[in-house]
Amino acid sequence: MCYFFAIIELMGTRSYLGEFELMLLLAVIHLGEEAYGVPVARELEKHRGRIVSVGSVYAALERLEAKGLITSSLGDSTPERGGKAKRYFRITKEGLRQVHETRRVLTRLWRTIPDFKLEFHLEER
Amino acid sequence: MNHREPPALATWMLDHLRSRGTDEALSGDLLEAFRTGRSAGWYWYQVIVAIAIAWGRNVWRYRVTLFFAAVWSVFSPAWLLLPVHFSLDSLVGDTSQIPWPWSFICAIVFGMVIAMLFIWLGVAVYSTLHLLAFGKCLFRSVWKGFLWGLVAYALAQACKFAISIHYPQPASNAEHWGSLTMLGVILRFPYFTGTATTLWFLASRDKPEQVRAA
Repeated sequence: MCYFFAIIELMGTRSYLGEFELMLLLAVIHLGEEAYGVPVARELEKHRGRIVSVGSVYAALERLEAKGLITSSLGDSTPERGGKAKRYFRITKEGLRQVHETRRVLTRLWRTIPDFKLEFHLEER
Repeated sequence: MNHREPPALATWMLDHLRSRGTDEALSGDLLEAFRTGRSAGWYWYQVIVAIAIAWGRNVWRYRVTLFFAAVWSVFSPAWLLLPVHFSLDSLVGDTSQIPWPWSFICAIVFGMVIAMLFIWLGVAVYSTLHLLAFGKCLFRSVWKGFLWGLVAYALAQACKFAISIHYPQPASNAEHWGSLTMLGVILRFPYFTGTATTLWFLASRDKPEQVRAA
């Protein structure tokens, strides 16, 4: 019964980066010192071409922070934001390492697919 | 900078309906984006998604607790047989001698005590399993857990009572079995709600993790 308890508790803890998480990390790297909720969501919207929920951005960023891939700190509160502080995000060394690792694996996988196969699937669609 | 105000109801919902309401950065971000030209529709969408995500994350975080509460509430009909053998009359004597409304109050208090004993027996079983599995004690805010568990149980019991008044009588055998199943679910609902709420408050942190200021 105790093992069953522990199994349910540990369910859903994955170590690899998801698609959305990878995009977020790249946006945080790109924005540098200005990486907080609004610009990060805007950056993703610009590249994905659809509305991004700021709530889901925060949820994913907090998940990444729990994994030690980014850190966050509060900035000053401003009147434009109703006196509420900005929460800035920075990538950690481990985060950078994982981004590079994911890129390396994805590039290798892309190289294994010949061009004619990609063209064939695109034509089918 | 445009200083127009976003929909007040949406802002109130964002501040109060998220259980992790201490994180103000999201509210500030939405306000900033709204004041830089986003529409009221966009603001409403962001607020509803943020609330849904916050609750979804909470449910996922307390999945073990909720699962246990569901399993534990299955045993509540067996527990309800207890008052049959151990009745109010045996405790306080002949209850027909007690005048109204005290007789009514006595019956309600007796019912609540029986229910709370069941819920806290579940809490004890859960805490023991939690301690054995993770080596951590569960009890953080006992009074909060007790009070909110009691409130949740009472509200769910009131809902059950209201449903049972309006529930139609079965006409056929098939409907009879269907209604029995339904009644079974309704019967367990207050126990599930009470156990889940108590465990939720016992397992929750008093103060959410604070982000350090730069």
